[in-house]
Amino acid sequence: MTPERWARIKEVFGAALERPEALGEMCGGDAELRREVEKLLAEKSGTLKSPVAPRELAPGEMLGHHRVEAKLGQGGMGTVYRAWDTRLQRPVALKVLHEREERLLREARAASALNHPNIVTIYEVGPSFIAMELVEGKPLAGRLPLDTALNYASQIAAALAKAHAAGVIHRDMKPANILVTGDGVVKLLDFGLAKRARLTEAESAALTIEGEIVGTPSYMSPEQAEGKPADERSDIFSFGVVLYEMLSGRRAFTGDSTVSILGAVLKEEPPPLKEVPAELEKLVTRCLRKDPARRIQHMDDVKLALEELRETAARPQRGPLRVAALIALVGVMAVTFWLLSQRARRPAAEMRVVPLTSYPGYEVHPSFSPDGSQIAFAWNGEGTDTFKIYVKVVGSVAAPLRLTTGPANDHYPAAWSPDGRQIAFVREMANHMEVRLISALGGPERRLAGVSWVARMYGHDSHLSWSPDGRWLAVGERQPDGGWGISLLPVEPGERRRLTSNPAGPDYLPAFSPDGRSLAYVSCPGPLALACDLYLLTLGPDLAPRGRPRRVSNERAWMHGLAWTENGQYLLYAARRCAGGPSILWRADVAGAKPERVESAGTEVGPFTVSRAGRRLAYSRWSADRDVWKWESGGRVQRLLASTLEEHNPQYSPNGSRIAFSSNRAGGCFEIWTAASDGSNTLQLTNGPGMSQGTPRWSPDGQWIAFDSLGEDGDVDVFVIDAAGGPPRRLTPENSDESVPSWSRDGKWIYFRSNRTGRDEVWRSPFAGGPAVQVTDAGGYVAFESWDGKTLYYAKGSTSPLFARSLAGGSERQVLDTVAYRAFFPVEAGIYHIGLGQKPDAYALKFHDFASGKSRTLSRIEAPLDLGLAVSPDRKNMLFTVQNPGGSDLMLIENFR
Amino acid sequence: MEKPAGEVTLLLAQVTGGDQAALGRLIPLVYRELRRLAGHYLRDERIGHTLQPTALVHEAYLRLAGQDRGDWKNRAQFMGVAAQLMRRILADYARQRAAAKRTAGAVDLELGATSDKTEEVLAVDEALERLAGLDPQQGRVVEMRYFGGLSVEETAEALGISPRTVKRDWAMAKAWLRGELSAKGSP
Repeated sequence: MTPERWARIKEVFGAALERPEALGEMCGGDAELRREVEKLLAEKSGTLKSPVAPRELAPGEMLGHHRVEAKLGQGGMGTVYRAWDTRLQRPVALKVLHEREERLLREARAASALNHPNIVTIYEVGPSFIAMELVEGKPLAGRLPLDTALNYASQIAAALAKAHAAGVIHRDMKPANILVTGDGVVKLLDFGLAKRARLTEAESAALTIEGEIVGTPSYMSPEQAEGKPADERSDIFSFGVVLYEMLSGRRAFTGDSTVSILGAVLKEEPPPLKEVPAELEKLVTRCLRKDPARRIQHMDDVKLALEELRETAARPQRGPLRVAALIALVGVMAVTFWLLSQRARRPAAEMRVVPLTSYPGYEVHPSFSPDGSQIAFAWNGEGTDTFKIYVKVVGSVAAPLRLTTGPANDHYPAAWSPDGRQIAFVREMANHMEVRLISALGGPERRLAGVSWVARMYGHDSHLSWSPDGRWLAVGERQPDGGWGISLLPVEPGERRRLTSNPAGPDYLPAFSPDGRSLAYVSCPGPLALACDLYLLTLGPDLAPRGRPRRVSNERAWMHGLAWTENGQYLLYAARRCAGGPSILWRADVAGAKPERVESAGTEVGPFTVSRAGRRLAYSRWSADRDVWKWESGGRVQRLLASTLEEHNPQYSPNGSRIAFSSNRAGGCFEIWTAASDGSNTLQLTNGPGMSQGTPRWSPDGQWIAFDSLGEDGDVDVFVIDAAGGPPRRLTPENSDESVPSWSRDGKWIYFRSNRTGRDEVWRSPFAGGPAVQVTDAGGYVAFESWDGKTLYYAKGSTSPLFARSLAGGSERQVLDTVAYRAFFPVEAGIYHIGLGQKPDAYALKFHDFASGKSRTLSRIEAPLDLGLAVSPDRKNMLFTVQNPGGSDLMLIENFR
Repeated sequence: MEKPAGEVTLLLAQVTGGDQAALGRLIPLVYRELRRLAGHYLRDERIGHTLQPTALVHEAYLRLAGQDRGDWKNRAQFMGVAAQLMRRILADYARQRAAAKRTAGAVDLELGATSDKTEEVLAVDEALERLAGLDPQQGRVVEMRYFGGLSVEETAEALGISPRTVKRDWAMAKAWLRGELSAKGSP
């Protein structure tokens, strides 16, 4: 073939593309030419795909341990698929990035530590993909009714405030990144995933990448448009643009081209909002100020302002208003009137959640007055560590009224007596508990009865329920025969009656139906109140049981609350299926339909109350946070593994490159996770088998991780899993309780705590399988072999001396006076451990030197600590767990249906 | 790559003006950056992952010239240069993999589903050598479309020819390459 011949073929081929019928004519008598061109024409519709063209993943294809199921969508940064995580057996949304940029992945890792009901959880960040929670929802769009707009805006603001507090900036707030689920829960997507946009990049990006317009700069802050770095205030600006659009249905900044839109962002003010309360318009204006220094500075302030606007709207319209509420109302009269007139026009107001209290400490056990205008609750934050009973007017900004005093804990306010005059509560005395009555206005108390036991497992609670005629109070208590049951306490002098009886575990959370014809309650198959279900007992006119209780749920969960709806048709209950997992509010038809989740209540629903009038539900919302910290031999102490949920009980792998720990950071149960020693590349290792997985321990060769797992029956067992992932293998038998594994130095044995003698002792089983052997005989809990494998060190109580015994035989001897949290780690030269400090919540990281026989303090930590102590193989770093202040606030759902 | 940002734009302007020596100075700069970026993509890719040097080329451009307001002509020119370099990177990579597969004698897990593509890349690279001898412009079109992943418009812009010509050149070259590949037993 010569270039000339090639040119001829090309010429004929080109002509034949347009006029195929003329091929013969063009070739003349050149049969060879015709054959060549025909050969090419035969191939012309075939494809030759560039190896560099973006390729889509087909259903069934694997990406890491994710199996692609379907394509969900395509964005500027990547393609999103619905996929199945084959390792952890759960659905995920998989975002496969078009470009791999380290910064994006790093920020996705940072965002993966965020856990908030309004933020899409990031499960895992791979080399070029991000696996996240699969959310069924639609992006925010169009103009919304004021109520809805305020509701969504509050949720967005809460999510951003949480992220900002954790140091994560969104950078790309826009409606496309805000999903709304079917029942009105907002989920924010793509934290930190935006490109750091510059004017020049934005322009070229809009023109280029595969001819696709990459986003719109309409939501960009002026500083981002100018190519300056984004901070929290940039998110506040973008939030303002989104809020403006929700309220008006218009973009705040528009233009014909990228450049003109950016021009508008930089220079123009959007047209004023119409038909919006003045306060709200002012808020939008303050978000949209061009100069970041003049903008609202913190998302928290935006959140508070929105909550105030919503509280104003939530104030009672009629009925008894306390003076405080009235005064507050006058101040915002204009807004309220406007909102009321809006409300009058709307047929069915939508459900929405507003904060009711946000005091320091724990506000728990809310209970509505019969007319729904007031709420009683227990609170421990007013200069006292004990819980006291308070009453607050719903919608009022006034401080709550304190009803009880004294040094004891007062819990579990029951609903006001049906006439609204009295409140029943439980007082925790030194050796017993008392049910007491107090006037809703305060004053003297009356002791009603002593109760031997009230369920208070893991902070989950019993409460009291008034019979509708006001003559009886139902309470779950320990019965004289050693079992459990629901009792009826007479309000006027009389005999106590027993309604239910359960020899195996607690019956608690009694709730009379509105007509008094049945009693719903929670019954548990074991003393730990795990795997419980709802039961219904039919009652006669005199409250005498008719027939046997019947089970009406299939939850097998920890229950935090139980109540009837006003019409007696539904039962509402809060259930947590595993430790560290979400506590979810469900609505179940008493007739037996499948329960529905009340999404808007979020994932941390504690004890709650329903008002029989006024369509209100109030609940306590919990938060808890523990982080893993690192001590360096230079003396520096820093947070290493942190999320907005809990990380604890860390251990270094034998070569020091990785850390195993227990965490609920993905929003589920406590599971075993691993991370690189610098805290990066976190990876979930287990998904069950039980309701909580903890205490990970590496085998000496680093191949295996032993851990303990809490079963539904309340028993803990020891399992072993391949450190690279796989199915866990059970090490200890099902019918006994074993936890806290620990390897022998030769890797042949696994020590653990077992109560099979009736007392906690250290036992050990061969890793290869075989019967367990008892090692200690005077108590034992957390154990580690000495470095030479000849001695066993162990702690007994939560704060106890450290003991040792020779594995060759011999009796127990005490090595250290005090080890806090059973946290110690023996090495060649001595024993690292946590000791007590001078004050409460002050601790010391210590080293006990074998040679000198003395302990020295390496670092003092003035914070509440928790389980676990790890020492790196080079002895340069130590890991420990710090508890962050948690709390519980009361939340209110208005227009609850 | 802090320093060369301005330098790249200057060099690009000179290349546009017909200065071949500037092209010679530009290539090593771009190559180094592309190589580095490509390394990220190629090293960690697993089965099912996608090689996406188009995005990579864009990224390199933004990094090298992003600070300046490089105009479209410069961009196109740059894309052309980058496509050429990408061909070298991909072909080198494919050869290494093929060699590794031969010496190991075992299944190269990393190649897996993409091994066909590896063979195809090598075959196209060889065929392209012959094509360039017959019709240099058509060779460039293939290089940009296939190895650079450039669109018809970008290719036209880079070579200073009409999109219509690019389409026709590409249609024929593609048909011819498919014929060559199937003759070799590749798809």
